[in-house]
Amino acid sequence: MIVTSPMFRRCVAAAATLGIAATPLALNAADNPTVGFLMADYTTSARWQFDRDFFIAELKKLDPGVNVVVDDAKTDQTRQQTQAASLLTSGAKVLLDVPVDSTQAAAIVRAAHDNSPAVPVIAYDRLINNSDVDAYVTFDPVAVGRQQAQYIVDHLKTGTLISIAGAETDNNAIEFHRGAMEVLEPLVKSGRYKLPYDHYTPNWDSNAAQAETASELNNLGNKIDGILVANDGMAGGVVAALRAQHLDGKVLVTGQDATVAGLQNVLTGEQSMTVYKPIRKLAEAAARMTDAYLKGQKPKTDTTMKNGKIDVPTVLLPVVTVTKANIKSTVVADGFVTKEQLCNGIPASACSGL
Amino acid sequence: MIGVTDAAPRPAPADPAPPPAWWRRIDGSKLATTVPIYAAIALIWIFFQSQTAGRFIGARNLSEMAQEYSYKPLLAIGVVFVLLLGEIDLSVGYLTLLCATTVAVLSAFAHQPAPIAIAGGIFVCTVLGLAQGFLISALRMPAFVVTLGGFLIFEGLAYHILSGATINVPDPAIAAIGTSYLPTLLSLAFAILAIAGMAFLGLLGRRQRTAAGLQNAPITGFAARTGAIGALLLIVVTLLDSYRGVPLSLAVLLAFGLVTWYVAAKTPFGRHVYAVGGNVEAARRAGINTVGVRWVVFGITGFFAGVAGVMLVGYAQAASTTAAGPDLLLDVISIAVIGGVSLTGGRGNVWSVLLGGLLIASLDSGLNLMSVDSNYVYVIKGVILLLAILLDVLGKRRGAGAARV
Repeated sequence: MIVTSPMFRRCVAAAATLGIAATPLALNAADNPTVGFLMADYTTSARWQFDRDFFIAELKKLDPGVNVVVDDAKTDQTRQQTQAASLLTSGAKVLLDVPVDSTQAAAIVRAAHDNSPAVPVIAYDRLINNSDVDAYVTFDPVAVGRQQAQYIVDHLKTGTLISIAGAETDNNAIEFHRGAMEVLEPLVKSGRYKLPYDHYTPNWDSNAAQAETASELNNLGNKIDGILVANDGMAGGVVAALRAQHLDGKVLVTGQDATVAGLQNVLTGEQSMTVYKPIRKLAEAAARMTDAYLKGQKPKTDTTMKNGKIDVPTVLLPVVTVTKANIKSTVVADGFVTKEQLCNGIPASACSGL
Repeated sequence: MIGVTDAAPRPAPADPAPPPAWWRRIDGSKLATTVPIYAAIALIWIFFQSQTAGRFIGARNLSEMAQEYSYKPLLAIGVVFVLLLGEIDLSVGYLTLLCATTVAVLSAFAHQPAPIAIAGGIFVCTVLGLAQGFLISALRMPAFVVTLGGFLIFEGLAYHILSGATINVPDPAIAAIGTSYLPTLLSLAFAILAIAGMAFLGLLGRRQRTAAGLQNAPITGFAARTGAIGALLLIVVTLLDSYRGVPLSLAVLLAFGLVTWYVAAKTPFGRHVYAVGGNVEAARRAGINTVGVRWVVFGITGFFAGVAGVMLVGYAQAASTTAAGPDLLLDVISIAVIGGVSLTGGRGNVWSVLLGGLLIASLDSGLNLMSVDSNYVYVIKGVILLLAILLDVLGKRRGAGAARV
């Protein structure tokens, strides 16, 4: 059962503060434990619904009686803090948190640990900085950049590249860029590639990416062979700029997120690749960690990540390079997107391989 | 030491020589608003031209600049009407996004032909603009609050429809709005037609003034102005033709600019807007339907948000959550203010707003071409905006002083 009514939870919370413990949720807490999943921004990105569904499905397999409460902070960290407090009051045993603000979210970890009994917090997809957060599960952000750059290295012998990175305010954008430069920097030094333009883009703005690409094409006399683009949204802008010079499909363009629009551009050949993060694997790993905490064990992790205070035990999940060749066997096979979604609005010939 | 001047009075300054006749005819307040923009644009262009190895004033860059940024001044001329009323519309950024989203959904998901998708987007935005106008004019709710509500509602609706994703719009007819060019001969013909029209209307106005017994400015000034604008227009058109032609988006902007200039300056409705913005009570007593004027004005702004949204989709060939929003709102208000539109109402014109748009677009484009980090772009725009407001304030203070004499 998913309890989604905020009113109901508020009542539960109020009752618990008043010392009236005889609410259904609190009564069931012993045999049917509650797990709280704090989402940052449930409505503006379609992906979080997948995270929720895959997580609940896997956890129900491991703990059939579990009760998962999903909250959406609607990009407001303070709202998320209130939601965490309500969950703790109503007896949640484990919290998973997608923080809106990676630093301010430390308050949630403190509140959970001050609770009696202390409640473990798992940072989901985004790390919680400067806190004693118990565990972290995420895709390997450095690998995303590495795979984007590796694609260029595998498909371009030599030439001129430009790089359009994500928003500098987003820690992940910096990690993506770091991974890409790990691969590219030695090759730029050795003279195999030229990299005359390498900039972050505020807000991951696709219009800005389009304007920047148009300007650089002008500056370089259209002599660009590959464009390292951090995500599919901006890649869409880059592709539009290339179309204006009739260079679409002739210049390597990378991406990330395997969005419908990005995959369509991959199918038409205008975008070369995208990096797919199999959300099911992330959600299932989080469910296994949650299950361990519910059983009083320490979850298995493979590495640690520094968050400014401690080395957080971390599960890093691999990402997948998606090209025209493997769209069918990856994103479509996983049910991440449907064939109908992809083929809606693009020429049937581009869609024939699916 | 004020007393000293009494003890030792200085000789009275000699009367300055009376300014020549041509100088006295120049409208000082008009100069105060337009000369700084021309000067700023000239400086910016010279600077970028020297920093980009001559690529900035190249046909290709000017053409791309027009395609990238035409929707901003277009939206700004829609917002000018609201500003002339002394009101504000905070919702235009997300209203534009909502229109772009509507067009994308109608075209890519509902498979509607381009004209229906475009008309649908513009229709939705116009209706929403009129709805806001109803709350503001008929129910007398403050525009700031109503459009703040609109800001949130339109943001929520657009984000909900897009679900955080991008919608590709592959229809070539829609892409043409943002990426195609007028045939070279046609654009040349339009330019010549525009110059002839300008001369004809000017001469007609002069004849009407004469017939009404009013004095005309000397014909030499009029001829020089028409000649200068005409020459500039021909140079720009020829330059753009040397690349691929005049971008359709620029032609759309200029066409809408011309129509709104005419409506604002030459029609009773336009004069009513200025009158309501100048003094709503005086306008009401003069028999102007102030409620109707304010209502329609918010509808006009909604309409322009719709057209801007269509141009945005045409340019990006997609609709995404980052396409428009608060940044666009701020850019548009900056364009209007830099173009000399007073935020307290009653003062401003469409032509200066186009200049403001040219200035902001030049900055964006030039800094891009110089590969400057985008963070600095915000700072530079902020400084220029403050300078524009300073001129506005100084101009008003001088105007107020003059009125008291």
